[in-house]
Amino acid sequence: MLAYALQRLAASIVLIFLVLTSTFFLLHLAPGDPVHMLDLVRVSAETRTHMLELYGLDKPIHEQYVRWLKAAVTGDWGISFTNNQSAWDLLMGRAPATFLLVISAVVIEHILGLWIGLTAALHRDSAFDVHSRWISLLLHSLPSFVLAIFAIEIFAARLGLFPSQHMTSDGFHAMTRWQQTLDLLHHLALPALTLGVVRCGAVARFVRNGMLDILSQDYVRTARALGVSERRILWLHALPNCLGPLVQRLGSSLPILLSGVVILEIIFAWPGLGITVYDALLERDYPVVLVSTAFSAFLVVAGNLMADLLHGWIDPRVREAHE
Amino acid sequence: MSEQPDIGLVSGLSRVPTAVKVAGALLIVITVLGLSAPWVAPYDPDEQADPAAGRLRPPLTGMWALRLDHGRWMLADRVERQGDQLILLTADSRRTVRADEVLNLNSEGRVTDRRCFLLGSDELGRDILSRWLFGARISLLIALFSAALAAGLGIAVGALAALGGRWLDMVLMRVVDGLLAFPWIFLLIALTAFIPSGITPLILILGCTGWMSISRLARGEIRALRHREFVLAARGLGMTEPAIFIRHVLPNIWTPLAIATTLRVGYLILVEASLSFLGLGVQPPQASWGNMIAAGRSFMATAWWILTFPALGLVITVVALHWVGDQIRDALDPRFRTSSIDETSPQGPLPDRAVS
Repeated sequence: MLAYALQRLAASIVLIFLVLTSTFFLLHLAPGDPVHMLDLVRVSAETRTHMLELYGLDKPIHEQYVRWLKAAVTGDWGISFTNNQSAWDLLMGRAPATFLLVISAVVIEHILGLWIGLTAALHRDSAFDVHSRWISLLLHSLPSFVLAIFAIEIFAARLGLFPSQHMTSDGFHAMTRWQQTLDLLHHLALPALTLGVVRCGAVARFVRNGMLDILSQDYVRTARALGVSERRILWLHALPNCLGPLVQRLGSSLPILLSGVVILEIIFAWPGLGITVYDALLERDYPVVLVSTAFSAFLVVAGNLMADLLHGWIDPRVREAHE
Repeated sequence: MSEQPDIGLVSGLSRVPTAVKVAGALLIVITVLGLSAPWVAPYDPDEQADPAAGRLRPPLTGMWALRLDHGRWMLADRVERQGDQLILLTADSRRTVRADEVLNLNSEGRVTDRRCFLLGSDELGRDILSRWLFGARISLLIALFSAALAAGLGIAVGALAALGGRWLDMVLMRVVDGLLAFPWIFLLIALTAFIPSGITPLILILGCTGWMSISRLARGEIRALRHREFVLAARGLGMTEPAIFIRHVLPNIWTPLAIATTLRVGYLILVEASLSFLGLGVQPPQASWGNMIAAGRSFMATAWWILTFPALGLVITVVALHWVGDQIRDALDPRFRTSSIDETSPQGPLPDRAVS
């Protein structure tokens, strides 16, 4: 198991390195430069040269790359071009908001998906099963931004139940701990539900089909024949076998999840990673783009690795296959 | 190895439920309407005919349309005659125009033309139906061409990996793994932000970033056929490898690849809409469903129709594509069809999502 994990880790590090290198070159080879993007086209040629020199952008690209790589390895990701803060600090300031949103969405997605999928599988061909099938497909095909806009219109603008923008209310710092938590949850509700709901269809389908497959297996029939209660069969024998693939599925859907978060953060003005990267890309803030790319690649790789290890922990067969 | 039953397209299609055929018909209607937009759209999608009177009109609005010189129009709910003047009335305005300036009056001095906003008009007085049709055209063209490009690239890489020897296979598949693990929206935002805007660059970007899952599928299918008897026989008869690939392998992997490409079209429509929504895809004034939705957001409270119709178009098209692709795949693919579970419901995983 350890050898397998190390092997995966090595491949992952190579992967992150490749992603970063290609992003670096894509960014630097694209026409235009940050000084130009800063709306400083009218500065004198002298100032321009000075600024390019200051940020090391006047050097040949391979030299810039080596310099950037050397610094990055030691954890120095450079200073943001647009707000003079260390790119890493900027990123770390924004990451918790994204984590909060992603984790809440994943929890909602799996609660809804497991509930729909399990109910459908246990009452196969019932009205619930038939309708949940097309509803799953509908939810899965729904663009998150469309659902988000309608959710904002209905629940925020018309009914006034939830705030539609930002993560906290104006007087957040003056509130008590308890009020702050409530305020945060209040702001979290719409974006997390939107993301959770559009993603739950795929989980429901996955769980339903997985469970039907498992419930038709010999060991379940044997358990039934031995008089084991249906509830025991479900919770002790069937569900654990369905969870392994579900965890792995979550791992491999992380890139899609991160992509979805970008759009929702923009719509809900949620101050997270996605909106940071979006702004940084538009402003050609190279250090911020690179550190965010590195971080998201790291998240994807780490998430996949964790999903694999968790899968091995849940399902001994997977573990043995690699030993 | 057990023989797989031969599943032909026709016998497979006969198993497809009626509801799916309806979805298929809907897709065909949207595709035909979209692709023939220049001929079926009632008005020029970019024409701002008298925005002062014609803006933000709800669906099913009919207005009198007075044609002036230089192709200008004036719109009014009611037209009254007062001597040689025409009085144009709307709910909140009253304008006058000299009757001899109006070019489309009949012999009795009445206005002959009406302009009907079947799906309403937007904030600039443009006809939503015309923009919807042209938006469908752009979305479909981009998705179809980029899906074709992705399929071509995917098959090429998949074939190289399957036939090019162990090392090439390993390297290519690791690259594919890596690319699949990347949150694409970042790169797409980067590329669309830096590359000149336009339809062709967009198709190239979407095609070149969307081939990975198809290459994986192609590789798997090709590898499964590599040692089948008919391929060995062709090799024994002295056919060259490329000839075997084109004559014997490709026709046999066609069906799963065509289905995967169909599902890819749905995915790409969503990606294009998301990018256009963010202002990075199709640029206004050119209409696309994504940028119509973005533009309609500010008017959601007062003019729901600007956003709702493109959103409906997007959702219906993608749902129908996913549904049809999903069902056909299950009807044709023995792995999902002959499973021990049941025959009627889709068994495979749902198609990829672009952006959650």
